Amino acid sequence: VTARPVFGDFADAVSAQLEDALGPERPVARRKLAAARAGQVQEFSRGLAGCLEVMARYTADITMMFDDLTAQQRRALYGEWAWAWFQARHAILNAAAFVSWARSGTGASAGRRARGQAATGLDAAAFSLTIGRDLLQTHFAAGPLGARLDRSEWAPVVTSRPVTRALLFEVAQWARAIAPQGARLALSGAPVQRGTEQQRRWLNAACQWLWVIDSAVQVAERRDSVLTADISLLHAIPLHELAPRLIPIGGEDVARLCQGTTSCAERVRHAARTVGADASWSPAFTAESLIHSASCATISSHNCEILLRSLAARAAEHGVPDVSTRLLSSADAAAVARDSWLQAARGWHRVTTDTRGTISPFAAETADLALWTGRLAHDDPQWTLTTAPSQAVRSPQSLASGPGDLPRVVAAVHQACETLPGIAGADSSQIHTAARAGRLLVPTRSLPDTFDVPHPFAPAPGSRVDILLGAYRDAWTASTELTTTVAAVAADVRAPSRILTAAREAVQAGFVPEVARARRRREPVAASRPVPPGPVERILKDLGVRDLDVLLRASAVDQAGDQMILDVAHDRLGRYGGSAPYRDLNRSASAAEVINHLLASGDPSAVAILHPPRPSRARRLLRPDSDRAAVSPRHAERQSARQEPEAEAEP
Amino acid sequence: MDRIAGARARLEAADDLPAILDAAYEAFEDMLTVIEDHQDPGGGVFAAFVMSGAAAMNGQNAVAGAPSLPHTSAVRAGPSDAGAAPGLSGGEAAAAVTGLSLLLVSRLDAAAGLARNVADRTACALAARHAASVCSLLGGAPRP
Repeated sequence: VTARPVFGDFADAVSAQLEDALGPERPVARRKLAAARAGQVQEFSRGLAGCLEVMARYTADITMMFDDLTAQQRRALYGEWAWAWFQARHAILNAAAFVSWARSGTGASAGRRARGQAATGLDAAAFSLTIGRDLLQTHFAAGPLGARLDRSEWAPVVTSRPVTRALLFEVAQWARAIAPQGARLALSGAPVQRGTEQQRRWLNAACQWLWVIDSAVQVAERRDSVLTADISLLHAIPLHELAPRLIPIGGEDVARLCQGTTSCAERVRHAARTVGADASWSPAFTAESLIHSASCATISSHNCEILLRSLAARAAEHGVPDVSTRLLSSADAAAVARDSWLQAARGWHRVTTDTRGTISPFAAETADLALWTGRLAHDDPQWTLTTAPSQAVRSPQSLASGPGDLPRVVAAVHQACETLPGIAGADSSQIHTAARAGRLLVPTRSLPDTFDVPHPFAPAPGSRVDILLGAYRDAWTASTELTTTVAAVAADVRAPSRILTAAREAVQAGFVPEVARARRRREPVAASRPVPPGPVERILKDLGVRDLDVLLRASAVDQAGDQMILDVAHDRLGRYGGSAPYRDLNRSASAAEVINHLLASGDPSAVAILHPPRPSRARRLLRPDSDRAAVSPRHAERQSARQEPEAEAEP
Repeated sequence: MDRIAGARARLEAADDLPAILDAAYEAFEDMLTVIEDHQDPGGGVFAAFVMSGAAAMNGQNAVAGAPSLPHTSAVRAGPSDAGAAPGLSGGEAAAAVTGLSLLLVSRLDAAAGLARNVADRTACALAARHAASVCSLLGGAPRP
């Protein structure tokens, strides 16, 4: 829609940077290989710690939404995803604990600054992750007692169920990209520098927890898929940055007028979110302001009707009759909206407020929108709201010279139409608040003679207020209908503004059943989750085996081995509970490789190998409404102890 | 006599503050009737008539705030049988309303000079500003 940075810029960068997080392999003399590998492990751990820190913030942002919800509400609203969020958060904190030990180290390289390129990709990814999160946070402000307040129309989108799920899905994809690279480094066959074995083991343990994040998301996904459209919406969330207020100076081309209309529409929608609350006392609340904004909304609707009819004519010329028909229907809807707004403006006849004489900034912004849409709709580059200039309508050819111009103008009209329900809602809310505060008045002269009021004005009778509010309700209904029809055209022509519709649907998905049902018919995202080869398959490949049948058999052997390990692990968990000696499982590089393969397969039950707490403790730790879902350092320490080898083995 | 001509005659005949305010209040009402009759989306001057309707409403509300405005209208004792502006085109109606708004500006300025009460002066000044705005929107003299 605009040239502003969007979250997708940074999410895509993270994905690209994590593709080769280890960086290029540098030639190292054989005698220095052990020291170089130790340095790489330490540096990778440092880079991973940076990524995990930001990933933990992402999950904390998401779980913050649960603060005000009961467990029942959480289950009803988020289903399996609530569990996935807490498991992911738990896993990230566990991974962070392991990686912090791997960073500090215990051997000869401890405390020494690592050299090499092993974390170039991770460092870059951590930076992109941070910027991406900061971008999302621009839509919020800090409120009293640490509460998070919405400060843009995108804030409810960021916290919507579809977008938060998409965000966790992305976090899981990133974790999945890092895990095999870290594990490969930790379990590589390079000579081990004395005293650094534990660092490599801890790095591998951290990577195992990264796979846990992904398997938690996979479980949730099987019940309630993330949609491709949700990922697109997440990626389209822009930086919250309002363009400065601009007035057309005359002579702008259609592209500039479309851009100006879009920026102005965003400003109006932003302003609409902030008006209303102070109508009970603010001197800026005046009848002039509300009459002005209703009149400007009338003219904006009228201009949109002109534009939609011109676009319909142009679409017909371009040989897209379906689009032309829909544009004509939208134009009809715009005419209805215009008439409704005109009635709302007329509803102020002989109604006023206790303060007069000023126009609010919000009303002034609505006038800007009428001007921008008017310049786009009319031929005269100096068109204004007066009769003075020519009122000739811009020709369809001038509006959209080529088929490629159609989406741009449709987007501008869509943006303008999207503001109208917001104006109706904001002004209606102001009127309601002011009426309750006794700030709506009528001239005494307009009352029947039976009223004996010794003042120029009297409080507006309830019947007059009801008529006024009814007119605004009609304007809202007609504007909403207009927006819906234009949004359908925007989707048809793939106008950039169609993201507004996706954003609204995402917000409504949580509480409008029709929207939720419609979403279920959409395309789920196709996640790329290649499972690395298991030890048998890998060894055969290392031996140069290319025969597909042999490799498939090797893969089946690996899977059978995985299953056997899982069965035994679960059997022991059932028999011994939390006291089962699972620490044996990770004690050698070969055993760790098997476990890594198990975790990478996405089997959620494999987590039990890493996390065998006592049943009571498990319930406490994994209960979504428990703060203890976030692992404590002491727990992570015990977890590490379980994974420590009984005897030194080559990682 | 049509509404605009009647409003002009009453404004010109008014000689003291309450009479001017009374005539101005009703003149805004008459002006609004004519404006609303010409708020035709197909007429080419739709935007100007919509905005001038808003200004006329604001002008009437401003006059209503003057303490010296009589509580009952002396100029409209009975139902008016005058037409809004019979047979006028959009351009002609705009010209007629512009003429009335210019007269309103001048009479309200005069009323502000006669007023001793600050609230009366403020109301007259504000109403004159809105009348000037109507004039400007419909192609008359520039807004002051």
